[in-house]
Amino acid sequence: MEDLSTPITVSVAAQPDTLHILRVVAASAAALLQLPFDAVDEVRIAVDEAGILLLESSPDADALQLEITTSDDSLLITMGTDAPAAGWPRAADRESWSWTVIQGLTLNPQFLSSDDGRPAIRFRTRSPMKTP
Amino acid sequence: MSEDDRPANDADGAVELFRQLPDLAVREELVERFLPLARHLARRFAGRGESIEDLIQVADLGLLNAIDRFDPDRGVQFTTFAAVTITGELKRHFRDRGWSVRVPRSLQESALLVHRTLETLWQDLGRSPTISEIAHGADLTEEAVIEAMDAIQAYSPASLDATVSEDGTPMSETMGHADPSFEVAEGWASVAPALEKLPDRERRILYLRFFTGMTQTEIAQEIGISQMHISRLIAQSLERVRSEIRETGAREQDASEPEGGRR
Repeated sequence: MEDLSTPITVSVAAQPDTLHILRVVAASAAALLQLPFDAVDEVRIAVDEAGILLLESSPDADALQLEITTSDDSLLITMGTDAPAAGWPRAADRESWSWTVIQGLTLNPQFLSSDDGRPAIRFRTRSPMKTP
Repeated sequence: MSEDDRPANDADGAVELFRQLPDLAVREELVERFLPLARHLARRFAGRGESIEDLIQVADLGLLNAIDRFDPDRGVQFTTFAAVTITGELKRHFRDRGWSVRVPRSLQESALLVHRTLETLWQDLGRSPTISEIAHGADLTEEAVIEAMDAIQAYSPASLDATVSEDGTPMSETMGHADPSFEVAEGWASVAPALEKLPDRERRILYLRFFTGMTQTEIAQEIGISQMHISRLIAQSLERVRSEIRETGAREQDASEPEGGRR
């Protein structure tokens, strides 16, 4: 199994039409771990949903960032923006469809916030053969 | 008019302007005021194979339609009405255009090859193959396989609903019933109405994936269709639920505005 001892970090313009870049990077990282097709597929969906949620919550952001590290047999994925998001995570964020999907597809999803209020979402990909 | 004096359905302050239509200058002012909304909605649909310029054009057209069709006496806020109309136009745009115009031919070919290889490997291995196994089987690079995954999800033919299994049984008859416990599953109560609108098969697939934690491969075996098909149905169902929630939210906002709030 590959070990991404150096994290993969990507930063793209904070726009919906750059999300596919992050999807492809995350899928490639998942492929490096030899995760099966369905697990790779769901990494893409989770990254997409996290990106949508972050973009909606921090409209002033210029950049959307993705960081991927490996841990055991799964990926630890952290996504965030470079601008503060007021009240993050708001009740609307916790109750959003995106968050529901992320909770369903990933392990231990978390809302994070930097000291200066920049929002982030972190989750671990499922190990393909395990059930929640 | 001060903000406090506005009728309940006029939080966006547009009603007065609508009453002055068909004055062309007023129409232009409305367009200018709500153009950011149209652009915002267009961007929500970006990255799915259509250029952002095309999407903006469709959304702008949706805005013009919304302005022309809006009735300020119906008690609905224009922003809500416009968001629903513009989103509808954008969705129609995607529906009306086949996959062929959105995905380059070479990518279509790779996607079909990946699809076929995935089905074969899934049958042979009895599990979901890895990307490198698919790449090897399809004689493509892993990068090409990953690129094709996006294209496969973008492809959503209406004929999927009429798919038949290998023995010719219509899919709708092979799917079993929706699990009643789905309706009370914790955390999903708020989206239950949206899930209700999914076909039984899709609802059951989401139930199995999200509540029982079955993998796509296990669901495919349980239901008797390919894992590729499960993957595509999950992606489509999630998108459908999202759209439904958005539209229901807009409708509820309309309904919560008190009747007779105008003076």
